[in-house]
Amino acid sequence: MIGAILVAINVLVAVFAPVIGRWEPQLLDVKARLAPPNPTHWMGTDDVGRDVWSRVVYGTRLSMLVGGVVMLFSFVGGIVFGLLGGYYRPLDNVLMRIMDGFMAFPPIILAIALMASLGPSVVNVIVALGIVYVPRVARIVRGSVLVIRETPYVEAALALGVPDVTVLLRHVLPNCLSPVIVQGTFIFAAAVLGEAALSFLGVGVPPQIPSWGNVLAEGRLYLQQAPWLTLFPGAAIMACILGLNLFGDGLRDLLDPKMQGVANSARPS
Amino acid sequence: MQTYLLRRVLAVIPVMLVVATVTFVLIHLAPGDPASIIAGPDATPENIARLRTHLGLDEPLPAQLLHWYGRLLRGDLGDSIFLRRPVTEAILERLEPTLLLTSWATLIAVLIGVPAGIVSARYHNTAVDQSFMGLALIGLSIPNFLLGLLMILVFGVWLRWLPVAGYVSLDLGLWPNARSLLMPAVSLGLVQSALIARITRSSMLDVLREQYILASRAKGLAERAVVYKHALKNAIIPTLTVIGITFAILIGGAVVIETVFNIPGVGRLIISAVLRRDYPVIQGVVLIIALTYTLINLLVDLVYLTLDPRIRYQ
Repeated sequence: MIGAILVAINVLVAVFAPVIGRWEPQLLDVKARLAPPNPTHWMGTDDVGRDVWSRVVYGTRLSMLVGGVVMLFSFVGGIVFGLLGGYYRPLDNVLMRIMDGFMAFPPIILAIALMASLGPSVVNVIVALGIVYVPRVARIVRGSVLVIRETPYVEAALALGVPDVTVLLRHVLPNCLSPVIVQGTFIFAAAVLGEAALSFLGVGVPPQIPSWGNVLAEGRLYLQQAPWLTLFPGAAIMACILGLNLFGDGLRDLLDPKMQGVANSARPS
Repeated sequence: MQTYLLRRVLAVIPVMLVVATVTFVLIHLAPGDPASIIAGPDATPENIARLRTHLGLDEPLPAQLLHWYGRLLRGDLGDSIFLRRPVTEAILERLEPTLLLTSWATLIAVLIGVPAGIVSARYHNTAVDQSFMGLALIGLSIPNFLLGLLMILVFGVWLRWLPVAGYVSLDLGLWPNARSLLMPAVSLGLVQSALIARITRSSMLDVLREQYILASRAKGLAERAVVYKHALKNAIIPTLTVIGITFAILIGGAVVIETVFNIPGVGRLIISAVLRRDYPVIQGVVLIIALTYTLINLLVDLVYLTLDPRIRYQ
């Protein structure tokens, strides 16, 4: 419940960022550089006088965008590979070895390496993180497909001459979705953390774009003079990830009662 | 048992083949011609052409790929463009801080996570359990680099107990070294301890529901003996897997933490290489980390095998 509320708040902030933000996130208030929180700048300003509140609010928008699109990206890729691998045995060996290969990289390392080649941009962050999480979804889908393809109703459908594609999409896919959806919230959280970490390291979204990671990267340089640059975006990340983790745990208990209590939350970087 | 062992060891080969291919593709994924990227913006066309022949970039891609495999098998990761020295040398030099940081963090994660998980399971659904699990959930929601920044703020800037950043080499003594790694290791390990606590707790709870636990209680064993002697032995197996992987996971986390605390380890190396577009270094670091990760996973599986006879006979 608390999880759902926190997630809802994040989504609302993201949608209404221009209204809530009060300031343009790029606007320089040169007279008020590194200003502490005050009635004009609720969360203070950064080293070039940009409003931190506005950058955190727009950062929420970016995080929700990255989390959401990475989740969908990994769903589409993971479901395609998982269905193919689980259903067609000869393909399975090749596909799953490739997925294993990708999973041999720690997520953040693979993301950094991909960003090195793709170059810093929002789209590339999404692509890089998407590639990182596709194999993880594929593994889950494949596992379910292996079980479902042996069920009598699939056998019946095949005996009736239903084409493979229809069997896969209409009979197999819907039955392997619930673990994927549960995993989705954790991928969402991991993608938000991934973007923040990449941007913090300076290899994520370009520095002028407001992102929690970017504000934290600036904040690191002014930790002593301007702790608000670290504290506020930090609180935003924590609230967001906590919300997603709680939401995911709740969703899992709801959709998959067998898994109750099994620790599976998002792994930060 | 032997066939399983052999199969498990051999399974590493295709994984490493994919890893090598992915790292090869990295440089070809970058926009532009690899030779001009490597030569840098100031290079003349002749220089670029010479480099292209030197690196074998005018060969067809499959031939290049085969050469790449061949070089890797010989342990040759090429030369850094920026540092002008072999990549393996550059990595070896940066290994000490990263390995120490990861080891300390693993130790912290285990020493906090395992007892917290056991106690939570023993006092299931009490205030102790709920507060530990609440803490664990918060722990899982803090990115390690943020925890690092907050620790610098509190212990470095406000309380001035510990140095805000930097690394003291092991050559200068164990204590100064450990002191410089204390905050980085805690911020890296604490988050992981939350995961370990959750897994230990849930596997303890599963085991405590088993018949043989009921039997040992029925014959009048003390609760202490039931939990620590009978339940723990079986419950610890999934935890051991996580502990094994913890080291591997934390190598990834160390990359970020090194930036927070300015530690000159492998993580700083790869980040500065990304900013300088020093592809051989990026490829080298990524490969070594993936290799380590894979070998640790293999090792964990083999340990698992010796610990749990049920898997051995399958």
